[in-house]
Amino acid sequence: MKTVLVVEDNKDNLQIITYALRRSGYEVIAAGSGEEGVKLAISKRPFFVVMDIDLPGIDGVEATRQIRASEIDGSIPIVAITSYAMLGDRERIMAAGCNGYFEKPFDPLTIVAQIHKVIGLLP
Amino acid sequence: MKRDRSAALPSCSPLRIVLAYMILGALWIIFSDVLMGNLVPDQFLESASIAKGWIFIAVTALLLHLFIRRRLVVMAQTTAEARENEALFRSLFEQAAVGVAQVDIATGLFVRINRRYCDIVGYSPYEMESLDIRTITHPDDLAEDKENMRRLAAGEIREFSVEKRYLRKDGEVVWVILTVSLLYDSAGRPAWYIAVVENITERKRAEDALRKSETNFRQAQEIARLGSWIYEFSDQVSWSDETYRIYGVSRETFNLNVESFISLIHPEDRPAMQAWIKGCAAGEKPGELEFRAIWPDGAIRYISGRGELIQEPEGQLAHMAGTAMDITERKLAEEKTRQAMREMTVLNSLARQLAADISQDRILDASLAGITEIIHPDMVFIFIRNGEELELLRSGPGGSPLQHDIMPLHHVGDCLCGLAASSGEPVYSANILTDPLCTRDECKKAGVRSFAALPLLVENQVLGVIGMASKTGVDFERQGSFLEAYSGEIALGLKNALLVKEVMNHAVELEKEVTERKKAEEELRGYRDQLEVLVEERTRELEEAKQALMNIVEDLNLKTEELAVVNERLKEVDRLKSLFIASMSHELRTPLNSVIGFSSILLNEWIGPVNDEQKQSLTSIQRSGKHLLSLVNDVIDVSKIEAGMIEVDRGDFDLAELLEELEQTFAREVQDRQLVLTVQKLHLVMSTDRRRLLQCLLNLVSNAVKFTEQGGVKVAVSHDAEHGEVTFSVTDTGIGIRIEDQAQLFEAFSRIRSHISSKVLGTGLGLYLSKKIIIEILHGTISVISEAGSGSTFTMIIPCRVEGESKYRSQPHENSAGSGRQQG
Repeated sequence: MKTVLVVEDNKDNLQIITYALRRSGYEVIAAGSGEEGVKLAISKRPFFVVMDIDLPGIDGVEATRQIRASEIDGSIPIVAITSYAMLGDRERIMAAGCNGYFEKPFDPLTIVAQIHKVIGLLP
Repeated sequence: MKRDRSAALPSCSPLRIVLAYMILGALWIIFSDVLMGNLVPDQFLESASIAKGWIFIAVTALLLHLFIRRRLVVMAQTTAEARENEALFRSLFEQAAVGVAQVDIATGLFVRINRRYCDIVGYSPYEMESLDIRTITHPDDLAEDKENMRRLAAGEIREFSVEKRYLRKDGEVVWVILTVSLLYDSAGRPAWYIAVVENITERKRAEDALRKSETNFRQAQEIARLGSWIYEFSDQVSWSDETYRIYGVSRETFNLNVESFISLIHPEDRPAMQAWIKGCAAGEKPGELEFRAIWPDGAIRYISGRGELIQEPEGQLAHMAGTAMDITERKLAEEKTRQAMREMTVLNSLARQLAADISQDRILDASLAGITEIIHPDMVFIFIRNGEELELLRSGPGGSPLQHDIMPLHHVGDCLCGLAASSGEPVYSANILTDPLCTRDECKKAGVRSFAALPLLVENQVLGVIGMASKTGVDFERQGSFLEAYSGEIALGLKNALLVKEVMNHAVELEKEVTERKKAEEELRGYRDQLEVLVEERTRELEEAKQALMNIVEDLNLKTEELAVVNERLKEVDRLKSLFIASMSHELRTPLNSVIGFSSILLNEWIGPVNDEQKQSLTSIQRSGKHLLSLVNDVIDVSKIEAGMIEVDRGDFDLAELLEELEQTFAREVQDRQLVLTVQKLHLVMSTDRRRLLQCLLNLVSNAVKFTEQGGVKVAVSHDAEHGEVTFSVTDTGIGIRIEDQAQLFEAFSRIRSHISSKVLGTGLGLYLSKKIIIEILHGTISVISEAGSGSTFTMIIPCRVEGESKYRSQPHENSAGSGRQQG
């Protein structure tokens, strides 16, 4: 069973995405902050990471950078979820090393499929 | 007693003394024998006789001693005296200031000679001893010497005294007075010469000097022409040699006394002289007297005499002494100088006049006057040159007794004046009667003898000629330098006058020009004045305009400042807007995510089964959530667009895919409401903001479906390749829009009242936003055709390609940020 790391501090959102991922057969580990997310990403080496941008402490962009910086061989796919949609946000997120970018609110029914598409996976 | 006896015979001859002794001795012998016989007893007779003998000897010895002593004393005295005398003599001899020598007549050698003599002749006494007197005599005096000596020796003369020269040892000549006398020997025969010499070299030298000085004095007098005289009041006059010469008479022939002296003086000056003499004699010091003397040959000489009364120191009769000097030359020189001064003055005054004067007439008059004053000619002519002619313009002096008919015209080169003009050189003639150069007769007829013609020359240009004539043959050439200078001045003056005339002519012409020019200037001035007035007005207007401009500029500046402030504020507002949008975006969406997400999850029975009633409720929740979300999205979109924060998210996509998606979105609803939705498909790669295009199409189709109760919605798509545009038409068969409502259609928050609008959820932002998106982002246009009750057709015309950078950087993975957003 593949593990997916979800870095999200909002309980509801975490719940929703977890439902969707479980439904698709993934095991979900959660991090409530950017730092925790980085640690877990490095230690657990999940199949991919769902990174909320709006986090306390270091935000998702920075966390993404740190994860990327720590990777020596192979990189974990990271998709960002954000409710921000300002100018330049997209660039920042992609520049940090995210594979993709989704805006909230997302459809829980289709989100996993969309993630698979972004990271080049077929379900 | 015996002494007395000896003393009593001082100057006796030896014979007498011896006789006296013998007598006395005899007496003694006789008487002593007698006495002895009488007195002395016989026993003693022998001894007495011996004693007597001894006594006799003792007395004799004593007498002898006394006598000898006496003699000796006398001798000593005599010797002493003799020595004294000798010493005295020697001293005199030696110390004499004169040289004394004793010469042996026979040998001619010096026997005795004193130091002075030696000094005089320069030989030492030792040398003198062997010297012959003749050797030290100057050869020239030798003869006389010999003669004198002979006469002396012969007894013809007792002594002689001559001045003669000795030759010193060192070769110098000394002058001496030699006095020679004879010295007789005891026999009364001349045995020696006694020569006394006195060194008179100094005296001789003094005499020479005096003579020389006298000669110098005489010479000096001669050179200075200064003679001296002495007049003693015994009517005796004595003159120095020079004085005789001054008066032209000779010492030998002229009998000099006061009368004869006076006769030498010019008659006119005699009274003055006599007065002068009187004054001198009276002790006055009348100083210098100048007078004339007439030489025997009639020549007049100028004499300057000085004199003084000389008082003898012992109060003897005084006499007059003085000098006389021939000052004839000086007088002549003075006269010459005076003449030169006069000439100078005349020249100067003429020059001054000429410098001040520019009139030819006055110049000629002044020239004439000047010449007459200095030269005193009998006739003067001034010609002015006119080409090859000399025109006589002046002749003078006025009132000349000489008549002359001088032709007013001479040719240049003709006669003396003409020659001067042609050659440019002065021409002098001592006698025109004999001068071949004088070719005309008028002067000769007038009795003229000497003539001078001088050209009036300026810078090698002959302006005229000045001629002067003298009846008495005055030598004009002698004053040539003055005449030439004078004529030069005249020439200059004439030249000036000529120049001035030319200048005057020019001046007259100039005046005419000037008058005309003045007129022109007057006109110009008039124009200029007018111009000035205009210019002033314009300037004033300009000033006002400028002032206004300045005010405007000031206002502008103020406004600009205000604007800057406002700008700042606006920027601030923008910033706040962004902040608002960002936070709104986040804050509003987050709960909606929960609503929509959970309701969806529940609805799909992910968490457990759901019954139909529950499903309905959940559906409601979901629908509301989605609706709310679409409202929020629209609001945020509008905010973004209003804030200018929207950019074209350009990407290439297939239009057909987009249209497919469009159709699929409404498929369910249309089916439920039994409407027909037709979406035309067109394969075309468009390069624009896909999401926004879809958004607008969704909005239009959504409205179409909303307001259609029956029938259907048709979406037509056409591509205009030429203009690069795609036209989308959404036609519905709905209720249509009233004409009066169409104006507000695209405005924000306008909801059109209709029987449907209350049933249908709407934000009032849809069309407003769509229009904004189409225009601002897609760079297209939107329009509507509608009529109430007959449906509507909304038409969008969108360019296939829009400018604007794609905001994505290429990623290794799929980079489309799939929109998870649900549209309402």
